[in-house]
Amino acid sequence: MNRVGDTEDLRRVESTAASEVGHGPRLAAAAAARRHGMLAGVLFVAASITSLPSTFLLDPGAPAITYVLIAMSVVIGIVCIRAPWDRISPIWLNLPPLLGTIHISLVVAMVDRLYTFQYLFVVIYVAYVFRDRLTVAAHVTAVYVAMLAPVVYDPEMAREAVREAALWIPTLGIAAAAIVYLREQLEARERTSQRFAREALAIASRLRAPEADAPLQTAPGRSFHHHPSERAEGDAGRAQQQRV
Amino acid sequence: MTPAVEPADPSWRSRRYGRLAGALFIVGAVATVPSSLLLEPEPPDAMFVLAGVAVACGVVCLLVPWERLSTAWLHVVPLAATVLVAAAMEIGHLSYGFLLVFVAVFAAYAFPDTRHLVAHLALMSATLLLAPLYESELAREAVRNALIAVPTLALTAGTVHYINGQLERRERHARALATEAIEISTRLRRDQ
Repeated sequence: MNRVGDTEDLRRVESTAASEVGHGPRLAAAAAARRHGMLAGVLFVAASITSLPSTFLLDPGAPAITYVLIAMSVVIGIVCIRAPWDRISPIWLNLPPLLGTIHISLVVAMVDRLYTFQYLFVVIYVAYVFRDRLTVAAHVTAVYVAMLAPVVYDPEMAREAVREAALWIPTLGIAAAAIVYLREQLEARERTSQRFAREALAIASRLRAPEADAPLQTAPGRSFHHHPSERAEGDAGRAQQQRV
Repeated sequence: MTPAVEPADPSWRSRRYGRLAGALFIVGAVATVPSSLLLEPEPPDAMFVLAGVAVACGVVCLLVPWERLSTAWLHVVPLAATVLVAAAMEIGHLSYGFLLVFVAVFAAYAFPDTRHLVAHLALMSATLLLAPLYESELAREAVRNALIAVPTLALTAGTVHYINGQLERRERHARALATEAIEISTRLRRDQ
């Protein structure tokens, strides 16, 4: 292929990189916050709806508060779906799992211990959404505390509550740890590929015809390298490649 | 903390999931012991034999050379785990159905093909829904259990599967972009 064709190809790849890989960290964080907020909403609504059939088999029948709690969960879900997550601090993403934990503990206390199963949603959600392991651990601990709460308010069922917690606590902990581990592996691979793509594009940029040798731009006013440290990282990588 | 990056070839993937399965079998089995000791009435000894069988399955999963086997063999893992959980529900207590969480999360991760995941979820659902047949005294409780557990497992597995698919797609895209950029660089260098 001739040089003009290569330069066109390069511009196309740069453009794709700008939209898919090289977009600014702030934009990516906003999109992720929106996605995670919506996921929380969908989980609230879906968990409420799917718990409905089981309420008809409660013995004695489900108390009226059951349906109030289900409706509350649907409302929280809708609020989560509609909230402008991309315009508020990401710290607010801690609210849905906290509300979920409180809500499930209320259902367990007022309706039936069977709904302990739903803590699983909270654990899976936090393991996926929060990059900070300490935050994940804090939410999982909150779930554990809620799970052991029946020991305090229902001493007659304390032994049964402890037995169930003995099964649930490791199950949820392991599920969270497995998800965190696998997610981190995938993200690390993605970061490596992105860095590799950026370095390859930088090399291609230097090899281009002199007339087209302007700094690579992924979007108006934004260089392909996000940050001076990344540029330094790229230079270091190239130096290492040369040494090899 | 930055995790170490491992290669992404299919054999590595099989080995990773095989080892994960082994760890889940062992940890899942060990996790049931404290709960079994608190059961009233005490569970039969068969419950502890079952935990031993699960640990043995875990060790086998850790030792199997997954990279040399077809990926289809990974399907044996959730099948065996579902059978073990069904046996624990029959011998011990209905609450051991909770252990299907491990199976659902594993299947959601290990099988990118949605049809495979659905098949495993169907088997898990059948295990829970058929519990009233072998727990006739607790039939109503078993059905109630299943009605809450089946959708929870399905939603959990669906969520894990969806997000895992998104992450994999992004990773593939970044890899394709890097490959293309390298090809262009190579051509430009050759033309110089």
